[in-house]
Amino acid sequence: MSSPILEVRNLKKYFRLSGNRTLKAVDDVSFAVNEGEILGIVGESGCGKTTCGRTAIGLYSKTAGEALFRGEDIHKMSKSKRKQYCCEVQTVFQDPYASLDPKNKVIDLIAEGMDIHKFYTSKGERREKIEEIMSQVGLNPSFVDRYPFEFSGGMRQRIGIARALAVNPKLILCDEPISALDVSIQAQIINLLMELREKNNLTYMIISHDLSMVKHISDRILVMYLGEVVEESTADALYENPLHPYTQALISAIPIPDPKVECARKRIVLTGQLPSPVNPPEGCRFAGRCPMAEAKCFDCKPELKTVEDGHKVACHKY
Amino acid sequence: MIKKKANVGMIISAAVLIVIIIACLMAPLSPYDPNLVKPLEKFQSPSAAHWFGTDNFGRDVFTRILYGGRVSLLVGFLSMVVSIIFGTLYGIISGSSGKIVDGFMMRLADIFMSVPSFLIIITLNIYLKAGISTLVITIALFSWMSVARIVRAETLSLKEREFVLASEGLGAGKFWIITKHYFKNVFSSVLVASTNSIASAILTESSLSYLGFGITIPNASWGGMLDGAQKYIMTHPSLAVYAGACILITVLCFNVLGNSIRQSYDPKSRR
Repeated sequence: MSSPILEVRNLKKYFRLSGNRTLKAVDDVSFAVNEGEILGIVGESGCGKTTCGRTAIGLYSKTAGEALFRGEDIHKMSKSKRKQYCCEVQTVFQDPYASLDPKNKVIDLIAEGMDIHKFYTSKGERREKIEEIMSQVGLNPSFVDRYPFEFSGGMRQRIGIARALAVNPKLILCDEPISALDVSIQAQIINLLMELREKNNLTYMIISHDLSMVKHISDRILVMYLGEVVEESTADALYENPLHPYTQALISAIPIPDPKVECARKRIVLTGQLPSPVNPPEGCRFAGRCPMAEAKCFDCKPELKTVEDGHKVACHKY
Repeated sequence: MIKKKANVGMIISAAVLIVIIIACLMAPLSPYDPNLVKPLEKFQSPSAAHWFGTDNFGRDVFTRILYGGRVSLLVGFLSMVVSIIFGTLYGIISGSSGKIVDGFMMRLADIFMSVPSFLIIITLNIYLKAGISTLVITIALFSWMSVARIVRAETLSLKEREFVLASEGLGAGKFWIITKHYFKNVFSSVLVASTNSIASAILTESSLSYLGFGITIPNASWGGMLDGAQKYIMTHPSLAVYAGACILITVLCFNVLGNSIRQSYDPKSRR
């Protein structure tokens, strides 16, 4: 793989709560996104995937650590640099209902980035460009003057993708891009994302809890648990040889569309619940639910270490 | 999004208001001078010549109602415009600022809300030059707070919405987000607030004129006419009825209109 487009080092994002408590949403996370690849981030609800992604690209301010885009710290950019950077990194949001301003027409929604950065010289050019992008994402260009409430979820997500594409980004953070959609539409959106990647040389960071989808499209995968990365690996290695007990449990939960195999295989069923990120357990954060936990796991925090080439895991077993 | 569907209340109140506004605009077409005293014609009953009769100075009551309506509606409208513009800006700035600025601005609004505004408006009207502009400014000075509160609350909830985050991600500055997203999304609540604001401004203006602090006599205004009619309430009660009914109907219509607009925007109140 080529050089990293985005490099995140020891990133932390804490939220202050009332009563002097802090919620450690993202705690000491490091990873890199290489140019042209698809990085999947998986984990259960509330494990900090979204916060991690948004902090990594600078949508949220960080608490500590650094996020470098092509070697430059995103959180320390000057205003003009930052504006330029915004054109290179874009986000597709999870909820296509909340992420589109209901009072704006489709043309104004998609053109927002172009308006901010003045990518055109005349109204006609603006409209032409928008219509071109709309046909690229599979929207009928004659819908430019409609309002978002006239569209279905899948169509709205296409509008969201078009808005991100309009500024010609290099890296797109897809924050659960399909989890709010019908199953039949999910495949369409994924195929669209793949198609656009080919055409525009995009790099994706895909946040999801849909393991089979992530397996299908990602090159590399990060598994997160309670604000920390517990395993990092190439997609194939992760599914063939999951090392961390949490990853093993996650992967055994993917249904297999064959009743014979499904009945015969063993499922690792986790007990207990995700501990609170306000008061994370000492030692390994997963220890309380881990079927293989030993005394050491409760006292001492495991470091993320390289076990095989490109396969990192944070567990005392390795 | 909710379709803007008109209902019966909205149509009737809008129609009545339009009739009143057009009638007031046409006031100069009346053959009578609203302020000319004709002692020989005083206290006439309603007739074809004098539709609402004449008052204690022999002036045509219908003509005076129309001229008075111009004052009431103008003051109501202008003070609404002033307070809505100021209140909206104040609310958006307060809502989109940080905790400290927001807290300070809202406490300031609370202070304005807690003073007995009517007394201060009376005092100001004594010291300032009487006239429409003074009325407008003093009424607006004490009516922007409710608008500001509504707008601030809406802005606070808009701030957390994902499309605002998306806009920030596209490189938008604060000014951009305010003009492109906040203004458009608070519009419907501001519209409702503006009709209520007109209604209360008309009431305040009438009360002031009734107490003699508003429009100076002999110029007509609905409140002032009520004041004039008061002395003859036992002998000629109808004089008070016309001006009183005008205030009542106008204020009622504005309130019904506001309520209907709110309902047509509110998905929960639609069956």
